[in-house]
Amino acid sequence: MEQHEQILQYLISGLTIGAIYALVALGFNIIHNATGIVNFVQCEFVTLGGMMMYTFYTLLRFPIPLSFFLSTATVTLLGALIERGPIRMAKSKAIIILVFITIGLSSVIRGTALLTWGPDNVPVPPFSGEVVIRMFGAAILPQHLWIFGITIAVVILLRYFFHRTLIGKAMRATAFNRRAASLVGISTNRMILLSFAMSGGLGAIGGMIIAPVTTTSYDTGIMLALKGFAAAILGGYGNSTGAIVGGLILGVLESLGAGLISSKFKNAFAFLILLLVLFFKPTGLLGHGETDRV
Amino acid sequence: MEKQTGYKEVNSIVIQFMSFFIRKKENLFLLLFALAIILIPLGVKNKYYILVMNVVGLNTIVVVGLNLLIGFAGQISLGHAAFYGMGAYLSAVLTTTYHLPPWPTILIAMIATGTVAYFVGYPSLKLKGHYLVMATLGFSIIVNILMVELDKITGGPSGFPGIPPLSIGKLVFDNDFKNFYLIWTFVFFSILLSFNLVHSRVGRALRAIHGSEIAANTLGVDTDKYKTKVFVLSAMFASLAGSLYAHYITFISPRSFDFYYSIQVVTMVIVGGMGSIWGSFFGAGLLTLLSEILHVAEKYNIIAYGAILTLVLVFFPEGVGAGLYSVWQRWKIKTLTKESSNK
Amino acid sequence: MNPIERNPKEFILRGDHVSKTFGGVLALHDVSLGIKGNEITAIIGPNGAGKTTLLNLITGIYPPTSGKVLFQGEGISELKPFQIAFRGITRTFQNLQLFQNMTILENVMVGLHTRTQSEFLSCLAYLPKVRREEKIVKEEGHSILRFLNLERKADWLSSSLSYGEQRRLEIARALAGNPKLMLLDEPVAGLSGKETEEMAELILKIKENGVTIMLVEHDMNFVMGVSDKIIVLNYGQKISEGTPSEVQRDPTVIKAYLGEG
Repeated sequence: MEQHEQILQYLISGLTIGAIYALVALGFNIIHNATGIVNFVQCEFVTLGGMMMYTFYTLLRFPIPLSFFLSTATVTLLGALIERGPIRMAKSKAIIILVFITIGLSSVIRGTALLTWGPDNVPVPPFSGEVVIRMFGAAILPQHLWIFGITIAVVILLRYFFHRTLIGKAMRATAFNRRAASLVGISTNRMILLSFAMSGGLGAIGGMIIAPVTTTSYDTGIMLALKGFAAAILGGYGNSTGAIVGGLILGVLESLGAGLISSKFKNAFAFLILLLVLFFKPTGLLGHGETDRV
Repeated sequence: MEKQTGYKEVNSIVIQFMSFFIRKKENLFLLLFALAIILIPLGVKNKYYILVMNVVGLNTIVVVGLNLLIGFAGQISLGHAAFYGMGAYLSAVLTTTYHLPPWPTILIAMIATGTVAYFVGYPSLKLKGHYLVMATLGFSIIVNILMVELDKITGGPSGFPGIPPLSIGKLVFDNDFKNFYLIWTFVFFSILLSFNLVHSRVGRALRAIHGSEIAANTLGVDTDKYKTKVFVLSAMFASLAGSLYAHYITFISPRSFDFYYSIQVVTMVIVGGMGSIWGSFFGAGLLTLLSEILHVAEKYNIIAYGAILTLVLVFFPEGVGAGLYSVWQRWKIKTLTKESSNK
Repeated sequence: MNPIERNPKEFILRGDHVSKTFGGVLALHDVSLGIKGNEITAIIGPNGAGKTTLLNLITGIYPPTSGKVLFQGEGISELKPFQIAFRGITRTFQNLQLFQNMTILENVMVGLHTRTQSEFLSCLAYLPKVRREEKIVKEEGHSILRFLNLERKADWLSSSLSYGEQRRLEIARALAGNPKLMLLDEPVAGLSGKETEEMAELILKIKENGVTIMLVEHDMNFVMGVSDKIIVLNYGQKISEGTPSEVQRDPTVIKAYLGEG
């Protein structure tokens, strides 16, 4: 393959994985904005997206739309249960404690996944076949189109939700200023519950659309989710456009780095970028500055 | 910042618990501790038990240092596996491949690790708390990848064998019992140094940063400098433990220094009770033992560890020790009021 | 030339044309003021007038957008809060920023940070000089608590004090550093009538000990009774200054508080 065709290939795979990072970053932002928590269960949401898809589509042979729906629904429900259960019941509301509760829960879910599906990779077939499409010398799989398409659809739906529906605006209000939001009658508890549920759904979708393209097993979500966190920071903590931009840029940079510089350090690139952002522009590409008021 | 320091109401139980251990009693406990260190290998003959205790000791050194950062200064790091691993690999490579003398190498490793910690910590600590979490997380993953991929130096995923044991003159620390004394002497001094620090001007400044960073600042505490220094100090503790680990087991591999270890040591700090030095020892001991026990049932390891961590954090966020203590207090009050109402 | 520029040396603290914007909000606009040494100066004004912003600016929590702050003739606008503490300015907080994880005595001992020197390495090693310093710090801490009538509860957790006592503790802590200038942010907010009187006596006692005091308050009786000079802010600008009786009669002040007509 010629140089520019190769670069195009890297771009495509970068954008593909970047879309997943973007979805995770959006989920990360939703919970972080509402509660200040870094939700490590996100790792498992992504994993479970893929694993549920395997269960419903590969094992139970349900049609794709139904499998998609059921997978998303179960993980969304899980997100809600986590908030309603351990998070709500926690005696201490301190951020560090809640973050570590999510780390503990993450292990519980991962351990359960290991017991349920075993340690090996599981196959999730692509949604509509494997016929390669050639465009300008680069190979695009139909699954790539699904990934882009579904991601765009999700982003549009989220935009609509947050800016046009009452609940969405209520969530934004809670994220902006919790006390003010509760003073105008918004049930902040419900908003937080919703944020966990949505984060679950987003993570799951991310996990299931990439599943046919990469390996899927009980712990594949971890790297994906952690890089998603990095993307959220790259784009600007709490900024939803930033999450998308950050995700895509991170995916592309990682792909180009692995292809052009060294594939051995592929996983390191994302975190190297994270460190560089934190040190040189901590507010991220699109973030605003934060001032401490007494 | 208010969110970061929000658990102070919960930590007050730990402080009340701890206030029983004022200076004089502290010295008594340290004495008993030293005595236990001397006597245990004479009584316990099972090599496996000694091995486990040695691992507890190594973890305690890391946890005590980490507690200074988390429990006292109130900052979270998810990157201490990297510092632990740097100590191990630096000692391993410099003494085995380059034949440098081991004791000075331990010091070199501590200084190198501390320097790296400075460059990671200083920019992160100037910002809000969650930046340090993500920065240390990213750093930890990068270091682990380097350990695996720079295989010509580190031996790669299959590990680095053949590390020489430590020795003082003719005394070579080449078995579990000798290493017990070596490691636990260092544990003793780590705890002693921590006590000294905590009950001093610097310790108060650190705790003030945890209590209210802005007030600490207005009282003359250079919070950025102090947070960075305690971060570097905690990294150096971890590096020391890593070096000792390398010379003890004589074989190291990247798997011991991954992201999960970072999480394990912070868990030990929290379960033991943030801000409690003896709690660090207790947390390290409890969770290391737990790991060992669960090791047998590998498949159930992850889920059990996670479940215990979650349950402790949900119901005893102030740490298991303090948590059980307050449960006992409440039970006492209940039985006392029942008695008086029965009269 | 305004009176401050005419006699700059009289003023221990000076603000020269200080402005502060937050995003689009102009919190302080071209405020020039002077605080005389050994006096009690009160900053009053309706809510949102910029009083706390002014305090935060002086203590270095953020820098002014334009203008300078000078303390004893030297510019401090670019200094960080901890550096300003070493220059001799301390403060209390409107919403109480006690160290709830520490005892009362320890809270005060942190206040002594600027008067002590032990650093990391010496503290780790518990050197003799550290031991000596600790003894002195403890004694000094106790004597400050005695001055504020809190010594009895020295080893209590600061969170177990009553509200009035907590306010006193914050003052004790700010006083411990032997400041030349103390800034009090709403020192009597939420206090009962009796507690307010006691606070007024305390502040007068502190002034007698040579400390200059600048305070922000809403309680007019308290302010009128305790201040040597009053500065009035409204919408981020200085609209009046003078003795309590002068300010009380100033029509611009009356209008600001009561509205037009």
